[in-house]
Amino acid sequence: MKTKHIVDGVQPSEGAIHPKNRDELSIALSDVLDSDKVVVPIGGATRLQIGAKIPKYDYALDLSGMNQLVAHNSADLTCVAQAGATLKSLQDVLKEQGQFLAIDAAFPEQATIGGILASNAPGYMRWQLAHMRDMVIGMEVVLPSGTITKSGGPVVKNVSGYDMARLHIGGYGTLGVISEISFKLTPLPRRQGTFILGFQTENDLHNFSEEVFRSHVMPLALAGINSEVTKELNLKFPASLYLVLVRIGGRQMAFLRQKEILSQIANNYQYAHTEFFEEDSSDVLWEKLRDFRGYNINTSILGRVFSTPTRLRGLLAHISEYLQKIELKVALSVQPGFGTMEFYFDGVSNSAKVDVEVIMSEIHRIVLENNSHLNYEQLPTELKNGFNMWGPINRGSLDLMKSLRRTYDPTRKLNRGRYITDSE
Amino acid sequence: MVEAQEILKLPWLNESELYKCVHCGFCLQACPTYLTTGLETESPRGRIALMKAVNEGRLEISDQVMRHWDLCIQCRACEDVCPSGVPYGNLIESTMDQIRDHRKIGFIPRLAYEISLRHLIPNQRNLAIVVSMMNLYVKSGLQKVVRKTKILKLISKRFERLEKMTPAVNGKFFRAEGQLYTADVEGTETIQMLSGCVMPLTQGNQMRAAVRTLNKANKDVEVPLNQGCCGAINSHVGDLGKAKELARANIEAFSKGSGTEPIIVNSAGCGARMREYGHLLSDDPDYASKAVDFSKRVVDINEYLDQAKLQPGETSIPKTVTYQDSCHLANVQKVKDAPRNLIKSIDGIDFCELKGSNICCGAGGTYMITEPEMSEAVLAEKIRNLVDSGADIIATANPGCFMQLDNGIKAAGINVEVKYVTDLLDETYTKSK
Amino acid sequence: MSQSELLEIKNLVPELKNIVGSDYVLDDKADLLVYEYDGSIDRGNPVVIVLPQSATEISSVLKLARSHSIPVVARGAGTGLSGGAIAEHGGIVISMARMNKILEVNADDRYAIVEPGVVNLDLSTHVGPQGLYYAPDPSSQRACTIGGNIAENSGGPHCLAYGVTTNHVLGMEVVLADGSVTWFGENERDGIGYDLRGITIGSEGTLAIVTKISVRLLRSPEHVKTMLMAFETIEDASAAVTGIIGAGMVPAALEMMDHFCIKAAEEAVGAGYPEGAGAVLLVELDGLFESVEEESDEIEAICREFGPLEIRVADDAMEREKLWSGRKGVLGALGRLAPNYYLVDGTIPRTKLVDVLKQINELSERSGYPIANLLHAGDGNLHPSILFDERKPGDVENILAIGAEILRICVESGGVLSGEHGIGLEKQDQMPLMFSDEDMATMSLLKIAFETEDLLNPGKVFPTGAGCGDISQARAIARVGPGAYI
Ligand SMILES: Cc1cc2nc3c(=O)[nH]c(=O)nc-3n(C[C@H](O)[C@H](O)[C@H](O)COP(=O)(O)OP(=O)(O)OC[C@H]3O[C@@H](n4cnc5c(N)ncnc54)[C@H](O)[C@@H]3O)c2cc1C
Ligand code: SF4
Ligand code: SF4
Repeated sequence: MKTKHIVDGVQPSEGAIHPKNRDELSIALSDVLDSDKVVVPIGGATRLQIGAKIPKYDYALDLSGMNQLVAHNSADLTCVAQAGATLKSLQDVLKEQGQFLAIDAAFPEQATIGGILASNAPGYMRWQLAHMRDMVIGMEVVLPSGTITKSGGPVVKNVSGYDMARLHIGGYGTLGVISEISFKLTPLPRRQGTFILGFQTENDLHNFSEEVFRSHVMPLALAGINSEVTKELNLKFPASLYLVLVRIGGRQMAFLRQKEILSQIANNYQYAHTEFFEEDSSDVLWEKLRDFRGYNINTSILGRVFSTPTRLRGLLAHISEYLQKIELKVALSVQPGFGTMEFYFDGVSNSAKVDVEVIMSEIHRIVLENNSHLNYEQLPTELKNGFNMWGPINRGSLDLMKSLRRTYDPTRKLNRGRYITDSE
Repeated sequence: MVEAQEILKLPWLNESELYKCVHCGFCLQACPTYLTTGLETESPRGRIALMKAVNEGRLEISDQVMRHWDLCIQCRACEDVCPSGVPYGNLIESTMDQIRDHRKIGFIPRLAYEISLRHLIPNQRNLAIVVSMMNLYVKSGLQKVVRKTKILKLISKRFERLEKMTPAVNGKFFRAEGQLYTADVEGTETIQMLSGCVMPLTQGNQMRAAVRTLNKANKDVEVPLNQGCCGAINSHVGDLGKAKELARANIEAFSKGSGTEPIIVNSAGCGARMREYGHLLSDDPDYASKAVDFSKRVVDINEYLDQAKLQPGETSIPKTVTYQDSCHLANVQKVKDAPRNLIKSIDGIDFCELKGSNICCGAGGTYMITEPEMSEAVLAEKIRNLVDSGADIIATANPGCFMQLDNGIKAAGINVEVKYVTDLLDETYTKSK
Repeated sequence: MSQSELLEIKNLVPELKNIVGSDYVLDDKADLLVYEYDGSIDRGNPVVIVLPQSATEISSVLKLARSHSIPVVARGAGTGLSGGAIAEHGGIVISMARMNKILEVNADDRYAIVEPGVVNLDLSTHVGPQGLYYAPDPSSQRACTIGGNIAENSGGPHCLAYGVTTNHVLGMEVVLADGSVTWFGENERDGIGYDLRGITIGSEGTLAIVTKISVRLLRSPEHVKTMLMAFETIEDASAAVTGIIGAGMVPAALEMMDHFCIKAAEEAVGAGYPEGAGAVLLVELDGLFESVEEESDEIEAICREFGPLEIRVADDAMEREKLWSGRKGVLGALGRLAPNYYLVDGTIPRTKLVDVLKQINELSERSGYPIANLLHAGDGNLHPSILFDERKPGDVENILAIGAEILRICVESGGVLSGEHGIGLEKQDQMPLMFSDEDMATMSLLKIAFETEDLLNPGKVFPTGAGCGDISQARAIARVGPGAYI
């Protein structure tokens, strides 16, 4: 029994299935005839902890055997890969042709592209390169019944039939199992580097980001991290409240020009300390940040906030104020231009004066007050009981989601009881 | 209503022109009546669809159908934007001409039409008398009384609107007597000028200003005798017969010189009509080729002055000025930049674009009188945009637009002046600081 | 639609008038006729047209329609090219023309909330002064509505670098078939749950009626450069396209026209395209000044390998406009070469351009019908336009068959049935070329999850029944009205 297949501390009662191709996958699913049985599709298991506590678990459907790059049409900037291929294995091949898949999820050595898509894994590169769902041009999915279906295709522009892939991206494997994906690819920037600035106030963080946002710089990524993250990542940098990392790339002249604009903007900030990392050292920086998962993977709580750039300002201020009040150590990573934020704190051994449940709901209240959304992506299993990790969602949408779930997976064979659709 | 069997086809429509329309919808956003109502029944594509349906015998010419055609302002903005080159102007003109006989029109309106458009406007002498009387009406204060009592509103919206449109006569009449206005310096070229029908009587001053700007551009200006109304209004309401008659008269009147002088027109609507005499008379064996030659000579005054690189005078006009495209200048004659260039060339003027300047103001010749509700609704949007523009002066190139805008401005009680582009130019020479 | 059904709907007119106001319910024969068509070859007969002004009104209309099992079709500007807005099964057409307000522009968060009837270009014009624009720019942008764009997931020349409609919509308010009103997504870039927003985009008005849309706005670029490259043959031009993409370059736009198009455009607008060229490419780059310059140098170098007859570069707005004018006017201009043309829309992998264009050429020669090729070449989206004369007996049947054949070539080359115009009525019977029965059944389940009664835009997207090919043609011909081919 692999530890990788353990979900919320539970082993699959009937063991694991390892399909090698779409047909085996189809058979595996259609063979589960007992309407009571529950199958959990598993890729690299890097995001398997997300979701409500698993109520029943019979089969682990391990897709890591479906790991082939089916086609790489480099002259067309497209590729087709099996869902169980790890992100790293793909990027390595694509890189040889000066291309990459504009998805930068955590733990690329383990994370599979199917899992990344199904769980809507975040990444820092979205700032300029848009959402990863925009990289998907076609998808093959095996339905819970075993039916193999496809939509889209290996062309970059397509409006033939419903855009079915959308359902499965962020669907957490509740409507079907992704088996193969067609992607559009992005040329690797010829040069890239990262600017780091230290700020002493939250305001400076926002102002600076907004200025970058309004300038002609087109960052590949921009993130603000607080001193807790800096410390955990072991970044050697003078003490500051926030560090801002701006990643830029492009051809030689464009790269230099962006660097120059950034320095000019930075000059307006008196207390800023700046440094510039290029190429490999810049890569390493972002890899560390990307793979940061809080203090202790087993006890850490991860909350993800969806907002807009301007709302994030008020929201962050309120949360910081609250955190100071209760003296909780929290690691914060903000994407000001994109309007998202992640926070991590230790759910078991933290310094706070208040109960973890109270903290979680208080933060949630602040987020809602600021017209934003929050989803607790990672919780220690013991905290999961009865807690709504997904946060509220409007009634109309939820009803429709439930209807979709009923339509495609009437027995809730896949991931029963874990997704937002299965909440009461 | 007409019997369906009777009109299985509209034989007068040029089918290949009609079927050029591929119903792409590109014209919707150009059409003032569609923009005002949001109804495709009041859109160019819709009006064409009705023509097609009638032509195919799928639809009878009901009152409802005619209503949609009548509500067309004939601004021809749809024609300007149509990628398929549908000659909408021709289509609606011939449609209107043919359905005239199908109309159930009361005796009084028909008489009114007969008198005003067949006899009054085409005849300078008769028209001059009426205009003098109208002038008296305005000046005597009777107008104020009538307006105050709102008596006309009780009678009919159309009469009320007509009354509102009664222009205050502006300076002496400008008569076409074959006279020649020579430029200060030795003129490089003689040009002929259209004086037209209503404008020379009600806007004599503006006519003279136009002549002066032409002189400043070193042109000698001749105003040929025996010329008259261009026939635009007649074509507009579907009386192509009368329009042709007027066209022939003008062709004769302007053939007395060398026969090659440019014919300068300072009313966009007239210019548009005259540029299409070729098409209008294409089935007249005696005039077909003459008409084509004639049309080639016709030039709008703004275009002419812009091409002549007119230098404005010294006097500066420190005002914010905007410009409303006259439909028949922009959409038919395709003259869009020239008036703007001229305005911008004037010292002191701060030019601003009017939002939707290329959309009709709702004037449409007699349309403002025959379709007062729609005309006013279209105008209302124009006035809103005008207020937003912050302009002190709105310039135009057509008497219909002039009157319509002037009316809208007065009704809204805003502080904006309407001027012809040539008025502005003229001021730079004559006015002192 | 049977006589009794017709009558039933007519009886609802007073109630509909109560909902939207009496001026905004049309049911006169002449008025209905004006809503028979869209930009495509098809026609349908709606029974009543309503023009609501709010989601609440639409909700009431839908509830009423549902209680009488009456089909409802949403209509934007009716510029669609696949028959989406056509009332195939009669019923009520809901025109969005009066829901045309821009409700909010948030320049700091770079989004705008608009009503569905807002015309695409109007949005960019409106936010332009703030240095922003809305990226998807279908060639019909000065007429088509954002609601229609959502339904068709429309693209445009500049979608190569910036993506199509779905990439620019953050969220939307919808009315579902049962009349309930809800939001899918909001103003954030991401959210929780299934991507209902994403699945509704491109669903051709069959899942929900969109009543408010939150769109992403982009910052206007610092620098724009347009290049025109003329080649002796269409093969050279195609090879250049493949070369550009293969070198890892994604210009803002990359368009191609063949000699037919060049000729027509030249005659119509005089854009100054070089004489005797077999094909021209229009390449537009935008962004940071330096990156535009660096990339244009590289693109020029790539194109030089294929022996261009001429390369012309435009930096300023006027010059650029001139280069584009031919491209923008070309569809209408084709009317100069033949009385009618039938525009086909399909996408292929960009590496197959040379091969597929060759096959289309052969098809043209074999059949004797000239085919003008107009391409969003950068993303492999073809628009072969078959020139014909509807008055010639047999022409209509022939060109429809040629159109179907072109789509078959596309699909066989790894391509798809439609790049941007949608399936609608036009291609519903060709769906099996691309999709298995299972694929289509899976798609139709989606519709069922949204509504079980099939009242929202019924009879679209999915095949009408038996086989493909013949039936589709017969149906299309039956529906065709004179002159109605685009
Ligand atoms: C000359 C020409 C050029 C074109 N060029 C392009 C191009 O470059 N790229 C491109 O992608 N398309 C192009 N098109 C096609 C067409 O313009 C697009 O499909 C456009 O998005 C349709 O918008 P519309 O407002 O006209 O929608 P309509 O044609 O009125 O409707 C299209 C579909 O949208 C649905 N719909 C409309 N509003 C709503 C709503 N509020 N809620 C739900 N459903 C709704 C309708 O039911 C229908 O299914 C072109 C068309 C023409 C005529
Ligand atoms: S733009 Fe021209 S072709 Fe298109 S609908 Fe209007 S008139 Fe017809
Ligand atoms: S002429 Fe003007 S009012 Fe008439 S249909 Fe065309 S755009 Fe509309």
